[in-house]
Amino acid sequence: MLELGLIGFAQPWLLGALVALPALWWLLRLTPPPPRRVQFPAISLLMGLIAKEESAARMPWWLLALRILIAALVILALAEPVFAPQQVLRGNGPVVIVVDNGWAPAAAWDSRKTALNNLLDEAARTERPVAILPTAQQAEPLAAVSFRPAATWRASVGAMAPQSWQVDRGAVLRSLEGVNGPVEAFWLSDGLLGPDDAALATRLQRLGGLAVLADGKPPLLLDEPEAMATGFGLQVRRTASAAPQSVTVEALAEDGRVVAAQPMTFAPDSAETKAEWTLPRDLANQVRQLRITGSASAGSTVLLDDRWLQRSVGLVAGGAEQSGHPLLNPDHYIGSALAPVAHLEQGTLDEMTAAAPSLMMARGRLTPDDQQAAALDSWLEQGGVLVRFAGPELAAKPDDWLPVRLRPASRVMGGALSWEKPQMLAPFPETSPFAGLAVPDDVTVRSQVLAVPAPDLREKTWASLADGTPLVTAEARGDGWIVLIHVTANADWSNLPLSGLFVDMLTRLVRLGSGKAGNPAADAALTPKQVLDGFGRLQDPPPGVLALPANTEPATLGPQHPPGYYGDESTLRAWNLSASIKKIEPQGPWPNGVDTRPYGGGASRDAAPWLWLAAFVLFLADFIASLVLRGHAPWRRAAAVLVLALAAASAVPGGANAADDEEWRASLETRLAYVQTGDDELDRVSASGLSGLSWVLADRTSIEPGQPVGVDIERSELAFFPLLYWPVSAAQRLPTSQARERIARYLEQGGTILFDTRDQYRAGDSGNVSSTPERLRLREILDGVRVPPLIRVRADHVLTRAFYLLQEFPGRYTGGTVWVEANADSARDGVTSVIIGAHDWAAAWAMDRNGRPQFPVMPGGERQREYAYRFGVNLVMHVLTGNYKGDQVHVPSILERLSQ
Amino acid sequence: MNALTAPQLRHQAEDWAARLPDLRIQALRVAATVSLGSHGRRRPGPGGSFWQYRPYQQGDGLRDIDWRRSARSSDRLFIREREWETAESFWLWLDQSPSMAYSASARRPEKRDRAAVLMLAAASLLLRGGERVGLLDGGDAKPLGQTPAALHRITDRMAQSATAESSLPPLSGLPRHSTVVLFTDGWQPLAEWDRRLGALTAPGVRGHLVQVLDPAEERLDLSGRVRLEGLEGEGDLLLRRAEDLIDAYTERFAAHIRGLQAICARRGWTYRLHLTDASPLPCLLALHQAISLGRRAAHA
Repeated sequence: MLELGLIGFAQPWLLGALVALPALWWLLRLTPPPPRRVQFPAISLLMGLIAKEESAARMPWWLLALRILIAALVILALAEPVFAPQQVLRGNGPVVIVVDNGWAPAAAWDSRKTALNNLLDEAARTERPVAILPTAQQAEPLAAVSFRPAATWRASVGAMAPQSWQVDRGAVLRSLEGVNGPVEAFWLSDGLLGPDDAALATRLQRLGGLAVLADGKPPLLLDEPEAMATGFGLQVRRTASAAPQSVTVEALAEDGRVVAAQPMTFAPDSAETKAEWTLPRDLANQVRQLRITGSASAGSTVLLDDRWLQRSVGLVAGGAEQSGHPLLNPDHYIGSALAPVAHLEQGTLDEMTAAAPSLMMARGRLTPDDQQAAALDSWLEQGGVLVRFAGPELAAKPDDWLPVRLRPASRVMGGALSWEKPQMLAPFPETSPFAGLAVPDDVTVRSQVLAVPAPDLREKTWASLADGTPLVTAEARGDGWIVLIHVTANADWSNLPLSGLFVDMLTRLVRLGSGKAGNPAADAALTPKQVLDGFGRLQDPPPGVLALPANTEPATLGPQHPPGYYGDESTLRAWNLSASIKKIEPQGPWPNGVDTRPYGGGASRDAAPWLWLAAFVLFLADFIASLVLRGHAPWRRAAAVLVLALAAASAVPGGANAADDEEWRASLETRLAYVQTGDDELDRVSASGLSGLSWVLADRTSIEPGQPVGVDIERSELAFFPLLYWPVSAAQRLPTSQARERIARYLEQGGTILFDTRDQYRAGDSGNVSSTPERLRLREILDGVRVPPLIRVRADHVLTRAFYLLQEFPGRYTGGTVWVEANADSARDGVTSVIIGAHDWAAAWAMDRNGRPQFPVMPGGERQREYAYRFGVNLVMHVLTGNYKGDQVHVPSILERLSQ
Repeated sequence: MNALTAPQLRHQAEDWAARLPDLRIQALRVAATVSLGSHGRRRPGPGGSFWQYRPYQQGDGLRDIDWRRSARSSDRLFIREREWETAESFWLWLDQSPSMAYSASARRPEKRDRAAVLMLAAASLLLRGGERVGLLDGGDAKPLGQTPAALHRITDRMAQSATAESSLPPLSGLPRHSTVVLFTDGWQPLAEWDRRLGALTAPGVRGHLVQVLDPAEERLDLSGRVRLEGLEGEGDLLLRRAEDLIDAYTERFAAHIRGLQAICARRGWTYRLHLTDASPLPCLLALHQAISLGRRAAHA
């Protein structure tokens, strides 16, 4: 390529042709413009007259200049000029382009795409084969490297988008195993360090040279926030950079509103920044998504689920075990355990039932009066969770608000008067909300209240001691629960409140109180609901996304498990990218000889089309000028030529719309139509049946229908057809809701559909059939279409005498019932909108090319086939003429004929 | 445009033939404005064809009684009268050569169209006068009729012979006491015209020649570099400076016309020049007068 400042030429040797321009000048000067041509009958008089002088037949100078300019433009255009050329290709072998299309480059994806397109342009100009290797794992494994012409990559590059998971450069490294150099390699890197970077760089470098494109703009990673009692603990990470940087985190509600925003600042040289974001509880509970403003990527978007809901916990004051020392105060343990997850309120029972927290804790006895009891009851019914702690007071005298009956004494283990040792906890049963929590060895229980054994005690037990006595029991009340913890909330009876397990258990209980009753440990896999794409937008899950196994972390976040929401409403779970990224670090250092450079600026543009356009316009001008010089009527012809040229220039391949054409033909004459079922054989029978009937109609009546048409119920315009024949097959695809609407509209606007279930043969010789697969299918097809009430065809229905006098309507089979509209609307001239039968009429009508019937009729006989045709004729007559034959005028003559 | 291929010629001829009915109507309209001084031969007299029956009168010859007709009547005898037939007939010829299909301006009719209008108008006038009219197209030398309805036959015959390419009338002999009217642009060499007219001229045969020209032929109105193309395959002629040739052309044109006039005068023909930018009526009147004069002279 030859570069001259802003313009480069891909084929510079062609510019040599410019040398020939003076020669062209000379040639054009020599060649006079052609003379006017004039017809002249009296030419014989002029024969022999010799002109005395030759006129100066020279081309005007401006025309000459115009033509030289055209020639120069053509030469320049042939030399393939490029504006703002971006030359990066050096060698002349195949080109390998490795593209990091993970989550990180999403915010700067445009520059990647521009760089990729520039590389492709350049490879196309130099006709070098290209292989593009995306590093983000795809749903299907990376195919072997294939080199193809650059032009064939355009579509896939256009569709290439960043993915919402991490790159796997090892896969690219493995796919490069079969490639032998020399190739020229480019790595459009996202700048993040990965485990296989060095190996991949070395491999590409050895294949023939590597250039890495990276930019200094690090991606931002928003971590899953910490749920706090009054907001979120935010953390944003980046690759460490010297520059300070400000970001804004915004919180989005479910409907996409931004409900709050929090600015954050990276200190120079820091790789992370943290902020505590205090939000009112109502607002915080609306937040479903956090994202960094202006950074559209899966890494800077975090989805929130119920784990981040801020619960309120009410602590009912009371009980005798008040103590001045905080470490002896049970409320202290409860408050400390719940502080990170919930907002704790304290108050009397009245205040608490009025505030209706999601969880209520009560120590000691509960003795509500009637009014308080009713309030407490209704709160429980609506999903409240009441957690009780045991204590000496309760042990002495159990009250009514307990899940189990208690023995009126406490059990003491390992005391001075007891042979028993303090008990440890048994693993939590699977059905318990605590399932999955690890049981530490050092938690022992010295004293507890005991439940009276009952048949349902085991079911009510959520936690028990190693010897099987219940530690936590629960009972469902309406949507809510009453939970009893059989020890005190302080360290008097056990060291449970001192352990981390206590915090976890209370957290689980709080979650239980959020209205999500039931067992969160359900082992059903979580089906994908919505997934994040590479730009951090929620999408419907594409095919290939698998369900998350419940409660166990899947091995990798990737194409099978992209970040997003999984599960249904009750078990919705947010699955975030940032949770799986341990740390982000900048890439480097690179092996020796690797060329690193930033992403380029703008795209280089091909200038040749503009030169061609200019040459063409000048050529037109030259053409018109020549016409003027030769004395032709210039303006009319020039206009015609211009119009022609414009028409040629704007001629877009595409052609007429086939559907329009079809409709146009359909509207030209009356045609019978059948609905295409997708079953080729059936459609063929319908087509030949209707063409047989058309032939009979043309032969016997004044109706001369055109060739029958198959209509696609989803797409074709139905308005042109007076009658649709719809053979129903059990395997037919159900119409979409739009198609159902079209059917309904067609029927409303006066169309008639003959549904043929073709299953009369199943009835044998007698009776009717009702639930064959075809009829069931017909029911499904018509589901949602307003079908008018139907009756059997009565003996006086117009169908029986529209052309022939008929009392039965045989098709290929006979004996079944034919149903028509009960009270056909007079607005539609009494024509029934729906006819349903099972006689397989099309098969009876079907003729081969020689006019011979194609299918035998059953039970048989030419009389039956003749009657089948007569039914067809009556049907079409009825549809086309309405109640004409129903007029009483014809009754006497019909009666007369019937009596003969 | 050089020599046309046969299909092109035929196509042009068909195109022209399709215009003929229009031209006939134009001709009738022109002819209708000419009022005939005297009706011609529509009267009984010596002749071959039946004219009318009339009751026998004293003095009629016995040979003239039509016995068949008289037998059908109970009491009267009928005389069968024959139409008075003259021995004179009119022969028209239209030059249909490609050079006649020429018009230098879209505002003027082609020479051929104008010539056809003139000829059909003349034929119409003659037919109204009861004359026998025929076409001199090299076919059988029988008149096509002598009633106004014969105009259709003439038009049909013209359409049939529309592909005739000759620029000169056929060299066929004519019956005595006939009149020839030629419509042509007359661009054949003078010697050739002399020969043809000589062949057509016989005792008792009078001739009229109408030269139909486009005004562009009368004056060479060209300038600059021009390539002239003949219409009858004469070839091309490149004029380097057309304006230089105007004087020479005018001279040659006048000489050609003078030559034609001289030939006509020598043979006793009349000569008339008609330009297509003029109305056809004066020419038609003059022609009609000349014909009438000629006939009166013959019968005098």
